[in-house]
Amino acid sequence: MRQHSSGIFIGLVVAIVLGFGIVAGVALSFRSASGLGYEPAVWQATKTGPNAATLNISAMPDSQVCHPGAPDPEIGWVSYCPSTTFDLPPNSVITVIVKQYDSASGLYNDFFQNVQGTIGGVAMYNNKPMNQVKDADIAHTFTIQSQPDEVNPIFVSVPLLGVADDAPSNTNVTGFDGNQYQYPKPNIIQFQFHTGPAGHTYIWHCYVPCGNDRETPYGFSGPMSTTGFMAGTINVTNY
Amino acid sequence: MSSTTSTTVAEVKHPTLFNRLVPSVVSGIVLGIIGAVIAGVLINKITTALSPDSVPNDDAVTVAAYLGWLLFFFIGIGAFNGIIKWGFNRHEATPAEELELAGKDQGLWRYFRYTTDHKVVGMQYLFTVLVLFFLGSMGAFMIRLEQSRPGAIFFDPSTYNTIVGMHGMLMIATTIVMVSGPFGNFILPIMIGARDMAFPRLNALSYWLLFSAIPIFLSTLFLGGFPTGWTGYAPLSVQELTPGMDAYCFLILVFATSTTVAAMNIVTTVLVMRTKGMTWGRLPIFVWGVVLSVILSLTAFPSFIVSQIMVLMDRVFNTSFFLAASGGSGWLYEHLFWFMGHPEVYVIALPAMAAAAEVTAVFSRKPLFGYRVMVSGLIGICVLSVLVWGHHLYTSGSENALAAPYMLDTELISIPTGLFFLGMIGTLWRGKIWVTVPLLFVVGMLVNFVIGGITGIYLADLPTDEILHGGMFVTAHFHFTLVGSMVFGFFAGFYYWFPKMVGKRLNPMLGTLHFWLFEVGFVGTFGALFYAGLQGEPRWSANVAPPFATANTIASLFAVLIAASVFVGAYNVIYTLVRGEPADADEWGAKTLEWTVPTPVPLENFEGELPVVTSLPYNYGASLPEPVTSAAEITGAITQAPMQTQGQE
Amino acid sequence: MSEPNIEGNAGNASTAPAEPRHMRRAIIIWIVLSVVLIAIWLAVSQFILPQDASSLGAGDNFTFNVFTVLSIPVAMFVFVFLAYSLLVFRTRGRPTEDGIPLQPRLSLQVGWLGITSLLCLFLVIWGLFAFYQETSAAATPNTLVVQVTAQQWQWTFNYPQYNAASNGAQVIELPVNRPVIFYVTSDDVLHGFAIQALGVRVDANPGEVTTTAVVTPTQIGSYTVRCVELCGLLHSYMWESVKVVSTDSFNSWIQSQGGHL
Repeated sequence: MRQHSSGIFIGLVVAIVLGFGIVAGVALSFRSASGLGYEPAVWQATKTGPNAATLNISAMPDSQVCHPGAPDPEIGWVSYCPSTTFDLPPNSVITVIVKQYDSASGLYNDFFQNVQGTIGGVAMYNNKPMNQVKDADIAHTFTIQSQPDEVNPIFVSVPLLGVADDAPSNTNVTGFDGNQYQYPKPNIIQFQFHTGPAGHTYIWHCYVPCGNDRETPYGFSGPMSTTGFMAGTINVTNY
Repeated sequence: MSSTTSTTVAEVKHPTLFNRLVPSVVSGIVLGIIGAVIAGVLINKITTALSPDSVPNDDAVTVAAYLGWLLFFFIGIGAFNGIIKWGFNRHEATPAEELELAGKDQGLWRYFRYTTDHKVVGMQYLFTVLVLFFLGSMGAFMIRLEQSRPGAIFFDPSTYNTIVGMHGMLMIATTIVMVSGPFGNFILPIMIGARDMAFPRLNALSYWLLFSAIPIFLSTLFLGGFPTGWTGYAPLSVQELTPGMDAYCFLILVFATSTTVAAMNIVTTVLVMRTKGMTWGRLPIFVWGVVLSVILSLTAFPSFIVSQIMVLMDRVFNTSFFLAASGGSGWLYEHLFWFMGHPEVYVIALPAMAAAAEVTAVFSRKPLFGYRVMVSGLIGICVLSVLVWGHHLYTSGSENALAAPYMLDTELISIPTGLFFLGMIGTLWRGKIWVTVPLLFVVGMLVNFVIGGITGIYLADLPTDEILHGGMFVTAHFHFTLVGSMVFGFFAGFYYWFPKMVGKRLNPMLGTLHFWLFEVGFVGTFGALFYAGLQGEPRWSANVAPPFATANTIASLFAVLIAASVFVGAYNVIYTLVRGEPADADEWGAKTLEWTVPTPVPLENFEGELPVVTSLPYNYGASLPEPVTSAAEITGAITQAPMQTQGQE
Repeated sequence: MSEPNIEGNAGNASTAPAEPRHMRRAIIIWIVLSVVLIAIWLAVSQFILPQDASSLGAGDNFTFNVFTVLSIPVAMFVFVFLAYSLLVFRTRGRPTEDGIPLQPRLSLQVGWLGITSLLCLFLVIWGLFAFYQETSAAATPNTLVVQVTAQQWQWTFNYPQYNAASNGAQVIELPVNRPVIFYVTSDDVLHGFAIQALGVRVDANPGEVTTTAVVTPTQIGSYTVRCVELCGLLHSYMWESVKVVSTDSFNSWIQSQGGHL
């Protein structure tokens, strides 16, 4: 046994190093396994002044535009575009402009029919200020909330007006793959809120059960339960 | 059954490559994949045609693919071979055919076939358990990595939830079979003096069902994962749109079937295959532990299967067992699940505790302190544990009055558990204690089990559970019982029986290192999580909230030690397999029957006649000269020794 | 907790002067360690136990302390005898002779069963009484009613007595020293409603309204609602801040939320 002991020791060190290598490998492959949910490339708000920025996003009724490679059934999932991971500048007034192409599907909870947390307590719906949208007319919400025990909380919730169910698909949208896709004419929703100091991360989500056309509790599955579609993160950071 | 006639049979056979591969696990996998594709495509076409808007039912397709995989895998591996030949009362299999099925003269390749020899099945279980533990521990390290700092630092929440669920399910399934599978199959029949299990082909079936469930479960990674954790609570599991959830449900169906088959086999074996003189009062305690465990699993697992069939019905056929909006109830799932879920932890515990008792007697060189008391303790745990499940629903909002009987029953379990501790301490007390790696793991088990058991009191008692339920305290508690106690018990058995099973000696230095890294890392990790739980950290946190950051960072640092221990353990196994020293037939000086047969154990275990048993296998000190105390006192003390009672049958 | 006759051969050491009195030594170590550890626990428990900011939390923590004080001797009994055996009775290398085949006497078995049963019964009876005390308080007209609705992944709160709803910013307020009862339900899947510091914890079930015990917050401060049942993607982000404030502050807050006093 003694003559083996140095061999065992070297083997032991190799085994432990190899083991931690395996752990790292497993971690990296879970991180890159996009089928389990993923974080798309960061989309930065466009700075429009020293303390102002604009975030342009759209809400799409399917994933053809932003997830062109997605397999069935993901390709049919509703999705925010062009990303769900946003960077915002700190201590700024952020103007969010959402082009909303989807039709209305209603809410579980009336709480989310109010415009909350925006500057002035209103949002502009096709240039018309409103502080509430009727339950049945809501397609999605854009709701920013804080992480647990956040010291600089942000809570913003804006219901997005749905397009008419029978609206003709007459608007061209250029997809990530360069193809043109036809959608109804979007509603433009615009609102503003303040960001706090840099270095804080928030999450946002949609609170309309738009994940599936089956009834409760199905609406929050699929795209609603997978990051990269109807849920994401917001980093307040200097860039 | 005689071993002399069969040598001629082997000489006739010259297996070609094809004969080796068909039937074997290779042909099983190939055919299984083909079957899965055929079934999946078929159901895809059918559901698309039936659907009004031409959309296939993804859940139906997934379930069909799994069924196709199962059926064709078992055709490919040869599970159905011989039905025509030997079935329908045409003729019995000849002894030579039986030995062929048992893997005679097939070398290492017999481990990759539908081999009926209980020792082959035991080894298959052993290495499967080790691999699954390795995979499951990877999940654990991913969890500790993510929780090492606040925020979603490494994985997005859906990935994290899938990792938690996979870690939990892999570990639960593995711990259920970890002792009854390898040692219950390899050691138990020899211990009771049998040549094989009662139903050798069912034995092979139980293992290969477990094997075939593994790819089913891992397929969840490619089907979107599942968000529910290992408990799979409905209606979240019904809501989940991705077919990754079906992998979870189907794993349980296959796994629970496998365990049920194995359980029936073990019970029958112990009932009818004990050798002459092996009365119930002379059974080694390990046999008691395994038998009680599998009896418990026979009562518990049907509701596990039922619950998942109902979830699959809800998912595939849009029934509404668990959907409140359509008249169902989530409480139904919780009850069905925990009716399995709590007895199941005792399914895990009983054989591991019994294995530890076996090890303790051997390394103290003393008979078990109160064999009958300890067995009564195990029986008491087995009986009481059937009715404790409701404590998982203390905070479910059900009528409070329901909680009292569950609470009483849960607390009562501490009494038989106390008997077990009395036996363990009494066995060690004044023994000639040989501190070996198996005994170290027993000591670790006892220490962790005390912590796990006592923290269980707080969770069993209503007023304290009110502040702990669903929190990290629960996580830490059940890791202390399941990992700290039962997995340590498994490793005690592993280091103890490995020389008999594999024929080589595990390196004691590496084993000691494995133990200390594991124990220190373990107590540190979950000790810190107890604190986090007391501060209110919820379970399943993809994102650790800032108040719990310190405790979680400490836990993650200690988890590095656990990781190192896993690699040391794995290295020890691989090193031993490659260049370990050959082990003696009676490696430790134990007296149970498995140590009386040669190593490696011959095909039908006992060469020649089966042994006749005349006493308990713990008659240490029986031949001692007059001990230090007066003879009257010693005889007074041992008059209740069971080895002297219990008449012949 | 006296267990002097725990070992079958307690007396036999007296006839062999060469042999140390193992049993007596172990028991002394056990008693000393138990007393020391109980003292340490009582000194540090306030830093370990959850914050108690309500009528319920204080009772829960008291129960926790009682159980711990009882558990320490039990744990120490195992630890001390285990460590003593391993340190004193170990052999160097493989043992060449067997140990004395001790077996438990009937008195030991009965005594052990009796003590563990008494301990167990004590836990059950204590637990039932403590739980009954916590849950027996009935809601009165003065009790503040808060309706809690869980959904993936947000809490919403209604104060029906004030016709008010919490509105944004993930903050609600409660008045100090006024009993409050929560009616909890869920819009989709199972959630767990927990405010650790107030000792409040109940599942939010879809299709059912469950109630917590009537709880009186006793300390002004900021606490957190967390979800304690896995509810999907953003489970660990599902929170709400709960501020326990003076009655005046509460009244002005509830009006700011659209309530009428």
